[in-house]
Amino acid sequence: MGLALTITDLVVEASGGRHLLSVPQLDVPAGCHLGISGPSGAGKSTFLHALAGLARRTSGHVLWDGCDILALRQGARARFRRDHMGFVFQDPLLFEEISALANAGVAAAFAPRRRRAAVTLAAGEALTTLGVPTRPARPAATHSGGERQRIALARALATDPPILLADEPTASLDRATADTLADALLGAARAAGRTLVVVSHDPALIARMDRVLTLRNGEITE
Amino acid sequence: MNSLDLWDRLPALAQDGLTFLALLLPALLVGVAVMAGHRPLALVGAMLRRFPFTNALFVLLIAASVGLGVGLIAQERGLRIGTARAAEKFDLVLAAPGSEITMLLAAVYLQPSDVPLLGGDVYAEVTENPHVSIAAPIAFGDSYDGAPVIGTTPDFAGHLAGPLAAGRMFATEREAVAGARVPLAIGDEFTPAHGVGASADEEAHEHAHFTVVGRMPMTGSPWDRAILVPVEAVWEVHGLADGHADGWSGEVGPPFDMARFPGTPAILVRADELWANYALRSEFNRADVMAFFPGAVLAGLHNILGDVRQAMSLLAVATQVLVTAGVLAGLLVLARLTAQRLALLRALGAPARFAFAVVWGYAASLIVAGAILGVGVGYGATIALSAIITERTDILVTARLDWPELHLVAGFVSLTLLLALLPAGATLSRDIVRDLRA
Repeated sequence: MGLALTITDLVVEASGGRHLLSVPQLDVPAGCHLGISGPSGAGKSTFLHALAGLARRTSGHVLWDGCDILALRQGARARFRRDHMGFVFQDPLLFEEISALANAGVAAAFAPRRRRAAVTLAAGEALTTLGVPTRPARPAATHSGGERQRIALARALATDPPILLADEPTASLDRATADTLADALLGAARAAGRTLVVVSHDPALIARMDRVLTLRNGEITE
Repeated sequence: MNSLDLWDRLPALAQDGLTFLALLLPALLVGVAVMAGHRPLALVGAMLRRFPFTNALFVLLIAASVGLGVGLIAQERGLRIGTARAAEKFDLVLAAPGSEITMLLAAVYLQPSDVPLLGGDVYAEVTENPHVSIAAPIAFGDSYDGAPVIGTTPDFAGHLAGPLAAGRMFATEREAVAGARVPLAIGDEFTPAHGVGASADEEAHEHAHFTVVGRMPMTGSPWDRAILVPVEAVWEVHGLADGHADGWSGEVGPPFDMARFPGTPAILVRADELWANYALRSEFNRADVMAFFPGAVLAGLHNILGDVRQAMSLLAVATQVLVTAGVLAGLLVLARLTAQRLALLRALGAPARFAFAVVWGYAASLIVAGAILGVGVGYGATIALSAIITERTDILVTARLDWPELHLVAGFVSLTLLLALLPAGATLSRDIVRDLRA
C-alpha cells in the first residue's frame, strides 16, 4: 500500500536565493497517481527531487505518512528512499556493462544482507513481467531503448517500494513504446496500491493520472 | 625478555613475513573498513569495463613505476651477491702499492690493467711464513679468442675451481685448464695472442702451443671465461726467466728460485688460519707492498652501491607515489564521468559509504593490478639485466625476488590505497541532483 503525502510551506531555493519551487500546501492520499505537468523550467523535476529529499536548500515539510523526509539527516533520507521509493528517470541511467538483471537488482548491492536475495528475486520477476529477456545474460548497452527503460522500471520495482517517482519516463521513447511503458508503470502502481508521482510533458501519460497539477514558475497553478 | 629480544629470536623468514604483513596491514584494514557490509564488486567491474584503455594505461603506469623499484632492489642485490661470490676464493691479495680497486678488478675480475710488479724478494718473504698454505703468483696480459690466458700455480687453480669438471690439472709448461665457459675441449690446442681484445697480437707467441688437459666447473666468476696455464709458461713465452733454478725438472709450481723470479702483478695468498690472514695483511702493508682483503674492498664498494641503491630506491618510491598521485587525479576525472551513475545509486538510497566503496574499490583494483604486474615487470627486467651483466662481465648475476621487493610493494600498496580514499571521498561532496541532470 502506498504512502500519503502532505506538503506544507515547501520552498526550494537556488544557490543565489531565488525561489525554484514554492508549495504552501498539498495533500495526496495514499495510492493516488499524481501527474505533474508544466512548461520546461517550471520546477517539475525540482518538485520530484524535493519529494525524495534529494534537493538542496529546502525548507518546509514533506511528510510521507507523517514522516518528514526533509527533517531527516542524509543517511536517514537515503535509508527512507531505499525502503520506500522507486525511481524512473527520462534516461534509464543503467550500468551499461552489466546485465539487465544486475541492473534491475542493483539495490541488492547495498541492501541489508537479509533482503538481498529478495531484491534479486523481485528484480528477475519484474523483468519477466515487463517482458525483458534475461537469458542469455548480456550487457545492458545491447538492449533496445524500450527494453532499457523497462529495465529501469524493474529496478524501481525490485525493492517493492510503496512510492514510485517518475521523471519524464516516456520522453525518449516512441509513441508505441511510451504507451507500453506507461501501461507497465501504471499497472505496477495500481497492482500494489503504490503512490505514483509522474512528472511529464507527455499528455497521453498525464491524462491517465488520478490527479494532475500544473507548475508554472515554481508554483502550482492546478 | 623484551619485545626487541623476542623479535631478534624470530627466524628471518618469520621476521620478513611479519614485516610484509605489517606493511600490508593498513591496506587490508582500509579494504575491510570500506568494503564491509556491501557488495560493490559488480559495479567496480562495470567501471573497469567502462574505460578499458584508460584503465589499462593507469595499470601500466603503476606497473612501470613499481617495476622500477622492484628491479632496482633485486638487481643491486644480485650484483652484490654475484660479485661477492666471484671474490670469495680470494682471501688476501698482495700487490705493489697503488689502487686496491684497480688491483681487485685486475686480479679477481680479470679486467686488464697495467700495474707494477712485485719482485721475488716479496714472494720469498710470503712463502717463508709457516701459516701460508698457498702463495700463487699470477701473470696476465695474453688471450685466446677473447678469453684471458692467466698464468698461476696448480695449487691456486685447484683452490679456485675445486675438483675439475673434466680432465686433470696442468702439470707441464704447455698444458692448460679451460674455464667452464671457454669453447675449448680437452685435447684442443691453442696459441695465445699477446694482449687482450681487438689490439691483441695473434702472432707474438706463435711458437707457444698449449694443450687443454682439464676443464674447470662453473664458478660464476670471470675465471669461467679464462684459460689457466702455468705461470712459468707465461713468463717463458714473454722471454723472461721461468722462475726456477737451472736443472729444473719441469714440474710446474713452487718452489720458485728467487734469483730467477721475473716478477708478478699480484700474489694470491691463502693462510691456514683466519687470524694469519690478518697478520699477513698487517705485515705486508708497507712502503714496497700492499696487502688487502678483496672481500673488504668489495664490501666498501657494496656500501657505496648500497647507498646509491638507497638513494635510487627513494627516488623510485617517490616516482611510484607521484605516478599514483597522477593516476588518482585521473581517477577523479573518471569518477566525474561516472558521477551520474553514482548519483543514481545515491538517489536509489545507496548509503554514501557504498558509493565511496565503489570508487575506492575501482581505484584499489587498478593499484593492486598495477602493483602485481609491476612485480612481474621488475622481475622480468631483472632477469634481462642480469643476463646482460653476466654476459658482459662473466660475473654470474642471478635474478631473484626476495622479501625487500615484496616489502616495497606492500608499503606502496598500503600508501596508495590510503591515498585512494581522497578521490573516493571527493565523490561524497557532489550534488546528487546536479549529477543526475548532467
